[in-house]
Amino acid sequence: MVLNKVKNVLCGVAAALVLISGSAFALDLNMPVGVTPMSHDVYDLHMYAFWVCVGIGIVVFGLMLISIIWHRKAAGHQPAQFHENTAVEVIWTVIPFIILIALAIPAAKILVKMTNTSDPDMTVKIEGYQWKWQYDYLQNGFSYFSTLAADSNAASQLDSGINPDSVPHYLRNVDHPMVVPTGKKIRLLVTANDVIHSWWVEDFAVKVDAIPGFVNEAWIKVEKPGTYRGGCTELCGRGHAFMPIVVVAENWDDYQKWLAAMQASHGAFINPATLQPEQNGSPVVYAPAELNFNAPTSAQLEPVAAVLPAAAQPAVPGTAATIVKPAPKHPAIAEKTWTMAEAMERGKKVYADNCAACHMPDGKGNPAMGVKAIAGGAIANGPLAAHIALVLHGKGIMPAWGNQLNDADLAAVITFERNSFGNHTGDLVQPAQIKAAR
Amino acid sequence: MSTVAVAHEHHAEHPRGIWRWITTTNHKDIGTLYLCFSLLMFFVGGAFAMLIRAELFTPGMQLMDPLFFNEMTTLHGLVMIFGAIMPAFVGLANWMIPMMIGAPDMALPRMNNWSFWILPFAMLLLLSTLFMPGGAPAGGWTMYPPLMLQTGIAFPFTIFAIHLMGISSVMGAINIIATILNLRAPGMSLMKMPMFVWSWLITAYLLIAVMPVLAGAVTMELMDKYFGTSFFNAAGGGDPILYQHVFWFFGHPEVYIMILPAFGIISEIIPTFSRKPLFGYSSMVYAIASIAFLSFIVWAHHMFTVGMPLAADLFFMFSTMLIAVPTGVKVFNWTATMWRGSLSFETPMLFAIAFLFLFTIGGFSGVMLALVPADWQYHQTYFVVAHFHYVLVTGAAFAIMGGVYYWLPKWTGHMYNEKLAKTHFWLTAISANVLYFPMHFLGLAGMPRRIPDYPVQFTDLNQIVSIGGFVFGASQLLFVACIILCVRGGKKAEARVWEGAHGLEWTLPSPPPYHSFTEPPAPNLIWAHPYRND
Amino acid sequence: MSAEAHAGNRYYIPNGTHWPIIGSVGLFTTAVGAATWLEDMDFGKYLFVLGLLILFGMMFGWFGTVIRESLSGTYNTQVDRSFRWGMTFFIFSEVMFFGAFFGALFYARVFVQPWLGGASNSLFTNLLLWKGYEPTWPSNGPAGLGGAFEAMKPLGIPALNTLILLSSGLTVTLAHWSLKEDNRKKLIFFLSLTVILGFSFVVLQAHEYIHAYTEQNLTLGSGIYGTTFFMLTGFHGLHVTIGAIMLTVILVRAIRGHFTPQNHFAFEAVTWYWHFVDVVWLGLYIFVYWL
Ligand code: HEA
Ligand code: HEA
Ligand code: HEC
Ligand code: CUA
Ligand SMILES: [Cu+2]
Repeated sequence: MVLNKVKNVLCGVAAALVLISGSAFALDLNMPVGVTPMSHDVYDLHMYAFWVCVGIGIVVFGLMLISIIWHRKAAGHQPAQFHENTAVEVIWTVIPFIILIALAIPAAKILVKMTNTSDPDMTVKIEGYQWKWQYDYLQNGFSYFSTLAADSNAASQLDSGINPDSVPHYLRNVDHPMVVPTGKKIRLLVTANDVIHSWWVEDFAVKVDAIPGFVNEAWIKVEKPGTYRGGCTELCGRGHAFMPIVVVAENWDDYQKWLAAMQASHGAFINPATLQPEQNGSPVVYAPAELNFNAPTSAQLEPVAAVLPAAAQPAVPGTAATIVKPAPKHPAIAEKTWTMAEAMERGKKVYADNCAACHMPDGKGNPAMGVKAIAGGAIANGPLAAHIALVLHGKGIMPAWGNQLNDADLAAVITFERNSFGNHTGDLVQPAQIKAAR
Repeated sequence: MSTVAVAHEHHAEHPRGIWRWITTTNHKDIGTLYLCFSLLMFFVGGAFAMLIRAELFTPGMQLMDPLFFNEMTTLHGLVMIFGAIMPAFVGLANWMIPMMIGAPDMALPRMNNWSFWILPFAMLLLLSTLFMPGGAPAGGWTMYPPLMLQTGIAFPFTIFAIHLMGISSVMGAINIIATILNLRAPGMSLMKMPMFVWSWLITAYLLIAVMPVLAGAVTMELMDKYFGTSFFNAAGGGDPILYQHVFWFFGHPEVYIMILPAFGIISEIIPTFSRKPLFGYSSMVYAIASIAFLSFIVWAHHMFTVGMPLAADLFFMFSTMLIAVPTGVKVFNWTATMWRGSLSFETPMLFAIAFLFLFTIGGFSGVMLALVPADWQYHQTYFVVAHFHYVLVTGAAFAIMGGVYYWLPKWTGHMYNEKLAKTHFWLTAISANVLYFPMHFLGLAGMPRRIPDYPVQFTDLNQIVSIGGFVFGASQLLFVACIILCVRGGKKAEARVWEGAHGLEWTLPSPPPYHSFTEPPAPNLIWAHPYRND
Repeated sequence: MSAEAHAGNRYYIPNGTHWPIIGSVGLFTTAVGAATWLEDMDFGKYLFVLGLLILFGMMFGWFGTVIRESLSGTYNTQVDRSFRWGMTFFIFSEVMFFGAFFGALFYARVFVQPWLGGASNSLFTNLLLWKGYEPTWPSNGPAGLGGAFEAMKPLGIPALNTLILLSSGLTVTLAHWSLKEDNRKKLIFFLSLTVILGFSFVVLQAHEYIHAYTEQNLTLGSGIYGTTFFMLTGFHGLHVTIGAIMLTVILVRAIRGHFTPQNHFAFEAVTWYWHFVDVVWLGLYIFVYWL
């Protein structure tokens, strides 16, 4: 019979698919156990709930199958006519209820633990932007942006011709990872600048929405040094898939070294592995801490100065709070004077890191998103002041770059825009001009 | 009942051609319009899904700009929900409810026409945005601000499209309630109504209660974008999360709006092909009512990661889990209906059985999602996508397909081609699982939803999913073939199409007369107890 | 216009009707007009007005048909009951629509304001983003959007408006009683009074808005207070206007001799609607003006 043949073929295909899927995956098919106390709890809860469902499934599906196999008309089964039985109805109302209670109790316990963000050893603020993350080491006085790694970015362009397999950690790599110490309770303060994002690292079992205008809290305590990867999980526009999260966890000593180097780096990001400065992406910005973030109660969360002079603060043993170092808001590089060649080179980089996501690598813009072209664009070929003003202050979706980039980089990227993609204004913009326009 | 009216036969007056369809007040015509429209929209929404699956076949961007991908995701969700699933259920309600309760037509026939004819215009508004500068809305079917406020010209069109769909749904629901409460044949008390009618009565309440809330939510967005209000702007004392509360106050009942009529259909099909009365009629009714009630107090389970206070998380976790109890009652009652029956496996029954298994799987993942700490891992990953396609596609859509096969002979007067239909079923059921099951693993392994491109370790599973998707999509062409063939001809169908079928609709000839019951059916046709043969 | 109805003693089955499709085209035109208008396209407002005109025409024609059928005794009690259910659930849907906006008001006041001020688990929201913001009500938010404004006071116009609406609820009931007594003079008198009260409410409300915009610096842009105030009272005002227009229609019909003591569903539907508008106002008065 045709039908049976079709069925056989289909079953064959299905079986083949199952086999392929069984063998071809290097990938773990289950939730990772993770590296924080919470992630272990969550994994256990997940498996517990899973097995409960499997158990119920076996019973329910088993009964259905028995009916289907034995109580067939084709097998000559005569229909019974019962249609009510209060006793069984009560039973199958009560039993699921009990099962649910058995699920709810551990879930509630874990939840209480997960939401307890008090008494951290340190605090980092995380801010989501379209489409990058900013990590603000509030107690250490510096912050920096973390954007998709350039090689991933290049390969992810439409018809890039680059095989994603050839890119290390495709879409899961950034220029500046977040760096944290292991074994410390770290409180994360998560917020957003423009639209809602969500910060998720699966190995930490932390997923917390970054909401503009509000700060959400979460905490992690990483058990093992390593590099952990995740990404934004709330739809945030065109670049939603392209704002990964990379967290490098180091032991306390290495972490201290990195911190010290960051504070001394004058704007360059320090690679936590090599401890060498890196001149990619946007620079590190310094600002002194204003609050005593380790204090457990709100009363002590008064501005630091109001409680105690910063220097006299009781150092929470072993925490980073002791090395707060006020620094100029914009690093020395801002005082620079560009030559045309320097500015173009730096500008090209800044453009690729910050602007190309919307304005496209070829400067043609993205009409679908309402992003205007730089190539031949009215602003990039018009009066310089308007160009500077637009880039500093933004407009609609166009971000206000004034609070994200320093004067030198802004000068460079504007110079670049005015002299690339077929634009030939010949203007060379200096950091001082940006400073004046701010 | 002897004073019953003379039935006016005005058939000769019916306008012909397209004008008939545009002006019709007949519940069958309007039901047909709804069903055809929803099939069309299923294909439109499905075509968007095919583009999604094609782009996700391999990592890297091959076919479209990431923004266009987001537009596809958004429109796929909106079109499937508001264009395919909901109108399909309304179409079935239009066709079947008057026949099931022994009425000639719906209570408010002119408004019935309007309910339908708003829909094509609403969809036109929505789909026209694809051709606008800046493209279609790309903020997801949930349309969260502030992202949604970044939409270009498409924005007001989308909002007004939602308003129109809301007006259409509310009018349709009012009509259904008025029909059920007012036009039942003498002798049909509420507790003798067929389950499908019960499920729709409660669904209609839900619709009237929540569609206006959705209208409110999108109106607030409109005001924030164009009139400087601060509903969702913290600087002015608002909160983006406020939108999510209002939206999900609509959105969660909405998902039950898409499953309760499915429950109704399944409760019709299973007794028929088990040749056995529905088990636990009254507890089935109470279960639907409890689900509907609970659906109003669980909405924030879609928002566990937004940073609600602990007490709120706990409350919504517990209330959500509770829904498993009445839903379980339904699943168990269906199983008990089959138990020691005399089962045969025509296509409607196959879809019903597949529904039982696969909806339950979707329900299980729902309960897992309800556990807040675990949801922090599952949320916004393909695990959620797997969950809701199990309940929506292998749940709601399978029930619709089963219902269509179940009633098609009644509507057309012809039997459909059983072989073709069974082929459709097997292809659909198998490919659906190839399509959706691996999504669980993708989600657990860390693949977020709504992304056009993904890290390479997800490639293999995505390819399987996409292949399943293409096969699933192509199989639906068989569905259309089955329907068209059945409309055009086939073995004559008897009045009681299925051996085990009970209910007033089966006392009418196939196809039924234009005005179903111009006189109330004889009371002895209404069972002393529904689904009981005595 | 020839949608003559079939009617038995039991069932009412109208013939085909072209009004719905006209209504759909009207809605579509209105929507396209409004959308293009919002996006600063000039033809938008004309389309919008055109759409409204089509809609009004549709209502005129549709209701006209229904009125004619009703007068010719086509409808039986069953149809009457269907209409009643229809109106009841329509009002229920309106209640839910207002519910969304009341919900927004409560959420903003009860939760969002304290959170912005650092309550509950939102300490850092206040410390990092809105330092020094002390939640108050009325509030235009931590950024003080729209600048300082003067909030509405419950006395004065709002109190007067409350009085007006409450008395209009009374007069419309008196009109109903008169109708049931078949006293047409009294009916017309009380109905006219209701219409006058209804429109006075609208006029006073408009006056209050103008005052708010010009004297109190209270606008839609005045943060969450301005937002919720204008949205709630605005939608209410819109409903009062619609209700007053419906009352006017009923009045004209009453003058023309429509309605009998037994058969006057349209009249009742409008009264229900009017009472609903009344009740919403009480909610508004308490939660928006008073508390
Ligand atoms: C038809 C639609 C439908 C239905 C019926 C359901 C049913 C359920 N859903 Fe689902 N859901 C959706 C459609 C639906 N859902 C959609 C569309 C989304 C995503 C929206 C978006 O973000 O875009 C979603 C998302 C969603 C979430 C949010 C996930 C997230 O974003 O993080 C949650 C969380 O709690 C959830 C839970 C549930 C639960 C508990 C049920 C329960 O009703 C299930 C009950 C059923 C059973 C449990 C099976 C049968 C019962 C038994 C056999 C008894 C014994 C069982 C036990 C004791 C466990 N759903
Ligand atoms: C309501 C019902 C419903 C239905 C029936 C479906 C059906 C399908 N959905 Fe659905 N889906 C949703 C509701 C639904 N979906 C919702 C609400 C979302 C969330 C949106 C959001 O995030 O905002 C979503 C999101 C969603 C995603 C996630 C997108 C993302 O996160 O970016 C994916 C990805 O695979 C997907 C796939 C599919 C597929 C392959 C089908 C298939 O079943 C479709 C099959 C049908 C057809 C294919 C049409 C028929 C056939 C043809 C057109 C013939 C030609 C075709 C071929 C020859 C191949 N859907
Ligand atoms: C999030 C997307 C996005 C990013 C990232 C972005 N822009 Fe823009 N940009 C826009 C949008 C949208 C516009 C159009 C604004 C308008 O006119 O409404 C725009 C406009 C401009 C214009 C004016 C073009 C014209 O002729 O009108 C310039 C110049 C510009 N951006 C420079 C930059 C620079 C420099 C960067 C990086 C440092 C950058 N943009 C990054 C979205 C972006
Ligand atoms: Cu940021 Cu998604
Ligand atoms: Cu839900």
